[in-house]
Parts: sequence; C-alpha cells; structure tokens
Amino acid sequence: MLRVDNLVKNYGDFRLDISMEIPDGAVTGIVGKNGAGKTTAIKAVLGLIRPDGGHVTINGKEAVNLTGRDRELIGTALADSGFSSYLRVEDVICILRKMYPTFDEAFFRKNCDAQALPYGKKIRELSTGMRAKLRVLAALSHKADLLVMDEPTAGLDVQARNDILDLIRQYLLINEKCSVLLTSHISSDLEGLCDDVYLIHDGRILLHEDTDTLLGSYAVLKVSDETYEKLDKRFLLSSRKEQYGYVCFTNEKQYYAENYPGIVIENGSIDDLILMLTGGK
Amino acid sequence: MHIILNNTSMVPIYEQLTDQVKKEIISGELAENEALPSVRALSAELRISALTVKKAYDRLEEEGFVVTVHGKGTYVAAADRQLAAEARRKSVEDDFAAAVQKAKAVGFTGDDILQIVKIILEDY
Amino acid sequence: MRGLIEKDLRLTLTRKQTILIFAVMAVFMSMSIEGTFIIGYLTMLAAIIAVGTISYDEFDNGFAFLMTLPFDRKTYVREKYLFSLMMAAAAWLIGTLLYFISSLIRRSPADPSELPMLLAFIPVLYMSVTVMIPLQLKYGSEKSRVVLFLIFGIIAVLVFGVSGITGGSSDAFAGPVQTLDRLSPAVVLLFLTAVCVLASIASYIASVRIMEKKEF
Repeated sequence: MLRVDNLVKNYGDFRLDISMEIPDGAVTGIVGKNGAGKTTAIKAVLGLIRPDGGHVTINGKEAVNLTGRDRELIGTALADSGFSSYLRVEDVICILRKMYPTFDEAFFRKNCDAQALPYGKKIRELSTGMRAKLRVLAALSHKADLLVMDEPTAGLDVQARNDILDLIRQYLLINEKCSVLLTSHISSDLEGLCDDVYLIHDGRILLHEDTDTLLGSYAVLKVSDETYEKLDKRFLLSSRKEQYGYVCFTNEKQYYAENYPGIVIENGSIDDLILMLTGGK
Repeated sequence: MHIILNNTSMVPIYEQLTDQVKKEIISGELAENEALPSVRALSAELRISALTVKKAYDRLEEEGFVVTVHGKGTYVAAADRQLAAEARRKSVEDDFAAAVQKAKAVGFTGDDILQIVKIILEDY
Repeated sequence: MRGLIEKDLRLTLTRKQTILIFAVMAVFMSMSIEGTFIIGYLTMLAAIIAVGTISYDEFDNGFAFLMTLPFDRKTYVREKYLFSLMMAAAAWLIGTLLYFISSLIRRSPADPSELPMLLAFIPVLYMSVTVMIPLQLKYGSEKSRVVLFLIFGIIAVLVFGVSGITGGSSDAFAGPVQTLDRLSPAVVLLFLTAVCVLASIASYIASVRIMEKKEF
C-alpha cells in the first residue's frame, strides 16, 4: 500500500533519511521527539514536499504525482493545519459533500452529534479538543483506505484522546482493509492501536518493531552497581548510570527474568523506548 | 467472551489472550462452532493492536482450538473430545509444573512436594 | 473543482458584513454618481475579494491540509481563475442593473446599445486578476500587496515619465485613444477580450508553475 524507499529530505542542517513499509490493513505508528522528523515524513508521504532523494509510493504511485482521484482514497488529519478557521462545521460538511463522491454524511453527522460538535459555530470558536475531533472526523468521513494522521491527539486531555482513538478504532472495524500511518508522542495511544512502531531520531529510523514484541520482550532493568558488573550485557540496548546503580533497556526480557531472579524488571513502554534509545548516554 | 488483560503482567498480552480464550473453550463457555469476534472488533474492544489479536488467534488455530474460514471469520473448532481432555490435562499439568518449580526454588525435595500434595488431597 | 468553488463561496460568505457594507455603499454611489463608475467599482471589488480567498487558504498554515484534499495543484489554480471570473461577472451584472435603474430614476434612461461597451469592463478588470493571482501565489498575501503597489508605482512613473518627455502634453496617448474611439464598440470588446484571454493563459501557466514548485 504505502512504501517509503530511502526517502531523503534536507532542511539546512537537518536531514531526513528513512525507509518504511505499511502493508494493506496495517496500523503503523511513528514515534520520536519533537523535531525528529515525524512531520517531515508525513508531509513527504502526502506529497506536500518534494523528496531530495528516494521514493514515496502509494499503491505504486509517486506521492508527489497523486491525482485528485488518488487523493479521494486518503484521509488526512494534520496537527497544525485544517479547514479555514473562519468556516463553520456546517460549511465543512457542505464542502466535503462536494469534494468527495464517497462522503458519508450520515456517518459524519452521527459522530458530530455524539461528540457534541456545534454545527453553527466557526471552527475558531471551538475548543482544542473539538477542533481535533473535527479534523479526525473529516479524515474518516469518505471511506478512505489509507489514513495519514500527524499527532491526532496532541495537546488533548485523556478523555478527548480516548474519544479520538475510539473513533479511529470504530472506523477500522467497518473498513477492515484500511491502513493507517500516524505519529504521536503519547505512547499509550500507539500501544493500544498500532500493530508496529517506527522510532525516528535525528531524521533516521532507530528501531522498527511490532508493538506486541515491544511490549512483550522489551523491558527496563534496574540493577545495583554490583549486579551491573556481573550482568550479561549482550542483550542490553542501552544503559544509563543512576544514583542507585544502572537503568538498562533490553529486548530480551525473558532472558534476564530467568537468569537473574531478583532483579527489578519493568515492562518496557514506548516512552521508555524513546527515553532509553534517544536520551540515554 | 470475557477477557481481562493485565498490562503490567510479565506475561505477554497475546499469551494472556490465548490462555483466556482457551479456558473459555475448555470450560464450554464458548460453544462449538461459535464465532469469535473479528480481529479488528476484539482489538477495538480490548484497545490492543490488531496484530496482537491476530497472533493469539493464530496460536489458537495452531493448537486446534479454533478454525479460521478465510474471508468469514474464526470459529471454535468442533469439539474433539480427546483433544479437549488432553488440553484440560495439559493445563492442569502446567499448574503443577509451576508449583513444583516454585517449591524447588525454595529448596523442597521431591518427597516434600509429594507430602504436600497428599495433605491437600486429604482435605478434598 | 466543485468542492473548491463551494469552499471559496463559503469563505466569501464569511465576510457577509463587509460585503453588505460595500453593497449598501454601491447602491448609494449608483444613485449619487452618474455614469458607469458603479459597474467598474463593483466588478473590481468582486475580483479582489475572489483573489483574496487565496490568503484565506494560506492563513494559519491552511495550505498543507488543503493540498491533501482530492484535487491536484493545477485544478487549484484553475479554480481560482474561474472563481474570480464568476465573481467578477456576477458583480458586473449587479453593477449594470444598478446603473440602468439609477439612470431610469434620473429620467435619463441609459441606452441598451451601450451594453457591449459596458461588457468591456470585465476583460479590462480581469486583467488585474491575471496579475494578482500569480503574485499572491508566489509571494503570499502580505508581500504580494507590496509587490502589487510597486508594479502600479512603476507604471505610474513610466506614464508620467513618458508624458514628461513628450513635453507635458498627453499627445503620446491621444493617438491610440483616438484610434480606439473610431473603432466600433464590438471590435473594441473583441480586441480587449482577446488581450485578456492571452494574458490569462500566460498568467495561468505562470501560476501553475509557481504552485507545482511549492512545498507546504
């Protein structure tokens, strides 16, 4: 469905250089700190920027050459861009109706009602959470089979975040073939939704792993200085000195659990992943 | 189906899921030929990734608990009585094995363990 | 295309109050100022408002999302030319109606044979659209305003410069103007339309090139 082959984009000192593949029906997440290159990657996927090298293809077609017809099959929600904030929700409905032959007005209105989005209000008068919901709903409104979402839950409270994630889950229930690419820096969002995760740092991919494996095999070990000396370091991805000893990150939880009974092992979360692989020593 | 997942457990999510579905099948709560929820439906309900659910279903299929009809869904396999009995036996064995492991870890001998089992059996 | 026009219509309608004020002013002007001024005024205004929708698209980083909607960049550009033409034509119609009504009220009815000449307002004023759209796309709404003033400034200087050289009289322009006067209105209209179409084609090609190079 979506392939990114050695995509290169230079912005001054910053250089993005990544490869990714999102098969049909997969939900893929991109994580990384601010400025790691997540948004640049998303923009290249959507053909908003021209790669300096490599290829981005959607169903075999170069992203920068997507036609209107191709774009009908893509649903987009961007973090810092949307419909003009002078428009009302009702205006957005009328525009979407004319834009997409597949626009599902009943679906859109049903969810606007459910999320209590006021039809008559201008977008600029809506709360941050409501604006985010409107953006996601617009992306879900026309039976797209690829969803591309940049930080759909950024800056929202837990409730609004869950509402948005549930909207996406419900959409995937009905549209089984749909693929999703989304970025987030809130790990729980990705843990409960994505099949696999790419970790981007400084424009490069540090890690690509199934979420399942990530949560099942990756772990944080907390050990004293003495234990650290004796520890088999073959499966440690990174270690950091702390006051009480060492914090280590491993992708072989079982190995350490079996061979070092008694050491503190915490389940690895995507947050730990980011911290330990990009922030550690 | 009543699935309760523990995110802080050391047991991987897909394994927890496999075990619980298995239990429901063995106990008969999930009847023969009954359809399991679709991968996406269960993943939405449990708020876990679809791939995790798929992994669990694949495992269940490998072990003969369910069958997947392509394009239709996943169903509880026709009850092979012998298989069910075997599975039940296996699960009891597993529990015993875990208990034995624990006992050995604190230094019990084989005789100590048999002693304990005898005492417990007398109570029933 | 339909979606884009719908969007621009709705964006234009968000300026209801501004438009209402201009409309009321227009009615008063048509009553107080004699002549065809009102037609040119309204047509120009509509064209400016239509091109102004580009700055709405640009505002708040809106282009990034807009360009993910189902149309290609060429279509976006084409719609701007079409929308400006539609707006200008609609405004011309209203202006012309007002002109005829006010002339009736003044009891000096305008002659319907003036129509071809009045129609010439559209190609003449649309020419400014062909300048504004590529500028707006290239420089954004803020900078393009400056560039537009600069261009008009240069033209003014050139005109004054030329008339200064030719000894302060407007002889240099009198010639062509007299030639124009002698031609029949229909020929003039045809000529202006042809020039306008050529300008539009050149402008459209430039705009598409600008748009396709852009990154959002």
